[in-house]
Amino acid sequence: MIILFLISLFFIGKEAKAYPQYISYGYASCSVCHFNYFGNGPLTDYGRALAATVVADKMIIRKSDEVLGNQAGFLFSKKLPRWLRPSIDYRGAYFKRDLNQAGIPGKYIHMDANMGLVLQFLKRNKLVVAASVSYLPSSSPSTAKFKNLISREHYISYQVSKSTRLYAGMTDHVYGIRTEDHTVVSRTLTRLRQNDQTHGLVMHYKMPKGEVGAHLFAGNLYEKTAGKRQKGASAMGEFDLGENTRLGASLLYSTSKVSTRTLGAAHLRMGFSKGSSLLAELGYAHIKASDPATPTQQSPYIWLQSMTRIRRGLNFIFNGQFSSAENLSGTKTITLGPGLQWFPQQRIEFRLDLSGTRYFIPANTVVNKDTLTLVGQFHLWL
Amino acid sequence: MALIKNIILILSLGSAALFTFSANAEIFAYRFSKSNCALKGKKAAGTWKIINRRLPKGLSVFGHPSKARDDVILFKLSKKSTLLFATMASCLKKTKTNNTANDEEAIEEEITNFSDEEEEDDLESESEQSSSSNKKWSLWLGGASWQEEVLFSDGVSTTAPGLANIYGPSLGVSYLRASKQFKYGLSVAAFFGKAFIASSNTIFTAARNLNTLGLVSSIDVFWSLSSQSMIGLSVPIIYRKGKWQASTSSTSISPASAMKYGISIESRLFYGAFTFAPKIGLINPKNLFGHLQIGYSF
Repeated sequence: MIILFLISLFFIGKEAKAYPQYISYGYASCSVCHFNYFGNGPLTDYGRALAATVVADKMIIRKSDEVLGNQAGFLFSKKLPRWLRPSIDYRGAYFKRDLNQAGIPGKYIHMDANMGLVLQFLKRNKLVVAASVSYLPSSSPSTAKFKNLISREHYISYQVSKSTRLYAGMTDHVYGIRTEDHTVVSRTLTRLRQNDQTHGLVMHYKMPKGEVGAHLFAGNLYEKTAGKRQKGASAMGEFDLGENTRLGASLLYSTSKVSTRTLGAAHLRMGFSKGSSLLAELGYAHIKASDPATPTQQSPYIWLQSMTRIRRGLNFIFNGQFSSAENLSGTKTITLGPGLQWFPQQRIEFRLDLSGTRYFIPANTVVNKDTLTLVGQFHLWL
Repeated sequence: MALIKNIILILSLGSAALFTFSANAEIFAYRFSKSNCALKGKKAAGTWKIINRRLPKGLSVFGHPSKARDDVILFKLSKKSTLLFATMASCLKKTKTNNTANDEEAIEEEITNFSDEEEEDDLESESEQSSSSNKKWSLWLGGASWQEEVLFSDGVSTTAPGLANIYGPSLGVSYLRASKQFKYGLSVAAFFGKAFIASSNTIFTAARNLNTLGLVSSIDVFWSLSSQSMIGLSVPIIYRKGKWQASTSSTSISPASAMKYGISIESRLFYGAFTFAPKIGLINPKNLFGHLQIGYSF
């Protein structure tokens, strides 16, 4: 049985990427490119073709967009049955903290290595089954039975009507801007991090000028301690303000025997000409621990990211974050930094981010020197 | 729990078995613009519903009924079929505008001739048009922050180095002048901030919320990337003045005023008359400087 399970894991997986900044190409909804209408996870054929013909450069394979679009599939130009869409995804990162201090070594980590499979059935792909398995580095906390393997996504979805799609299974929470940068404050302070998915029921409803979603969740059922599972509900809505501009709001409430979490956010996505964009999320996270000795987290946060397209495949990124990690009068942190994102070809992404963090510590008698961090990422997918 | 695992197991094993029986299915990713009958640009051919209804028998269009979706990919279509589709997409427009018809040949020519280079040319053209009309004055509202080295002194013999975190809002004006692909700018903003200062020696008490006034200016050179975006290098020049005093009256913090300069990267994104401009860089000696602004051009 274990062997069968391992074999099956080899064939299921997902791609851990979502680029909400592609509103700048005219794609306001994640549903255009992802099987999961809220973003993240495996790409549709359209998403793959878009990556090949619009987003990525063609430095390695200099062919026409028509040819590149035709070769965007899992097995390049060899086509799979329409109902079968496998994927493989790898993302590694080299990071070096405290650049301004000598003697601190850099480190390379495997951020994500996963395999995925999507099965799509019925007319117009009404029924979709998606699942993933990811390798989890030994240093990460694991809730999986197999210590170094984790599934971040497995669900069945069904298009109930033209405007409504339902999902049942394990997914990311429906909340906020679903960015691939899992270390930004909008994901860390809200505890919606890389491995914080949940089992539940999701509804996606689209309207002429926007979309809304609702999520009822029972926590991560793979979590060994049932009392730690956060059960609750969330909702998110985004509405068109104009061409390529969406304003939204999100709410989440969940509780477990350990803590109660209440989140709220307003978010904005703006697309500028041909690939430049601005993302902003202004939110508040309130996490009250059941243990009275543990202080309640009351964290306002702002996350900003602008992307400026330099040329096809090459983008300049600005990241800005402000947060108060403990409470309103606690330590405040500002992180700013430039970055470069480069897709030399579809399936390949390089990214380089330099960020400086400044701390304002009220109780401290010392002003810390700014911390400079360099992160280089390598992302490969099939 | 066990049920979910079993479902996944069965589905994945089933799909794994079928994995080897892949069939060929051609995908064509032509893109058409419904709003532009000349078929330039990379926008849509219409919504799924409209296209599906008007497609001749035997043609299929990949898509889903999302109103947010603009584009379509045509599946299993020959180029001829795709051209038929393009004709229809154009006809949808023509029905409303009574334009003269583009025949298949013309559409084929457009598709054949369309390339990314053409798109880039369009971009550059947009950019140049934008540049030629740009001699802009803008008002800016934003926030700036930087870090400075300071010196604590008890006025007698004891001194200790310290650091000041300076932060606060800014209000300014800028002038931008265009020259083809490049733009040159000058900006000046009044800064009304606070400083949080502490020494490396605990003899001296940290000081918080010390009023700080200044001017945050920069000389900018931008490379115009499109009509709505540009990126550039700036030389920030910062003058600040703050009569900083620690809580113990005998302790002084110097310098009382300082001029800083450095180098920074800046991008600007334009949305109508409004501009979003993040700037980040280093000021001397090697301290981080950040300035986020929203501008209004007139």
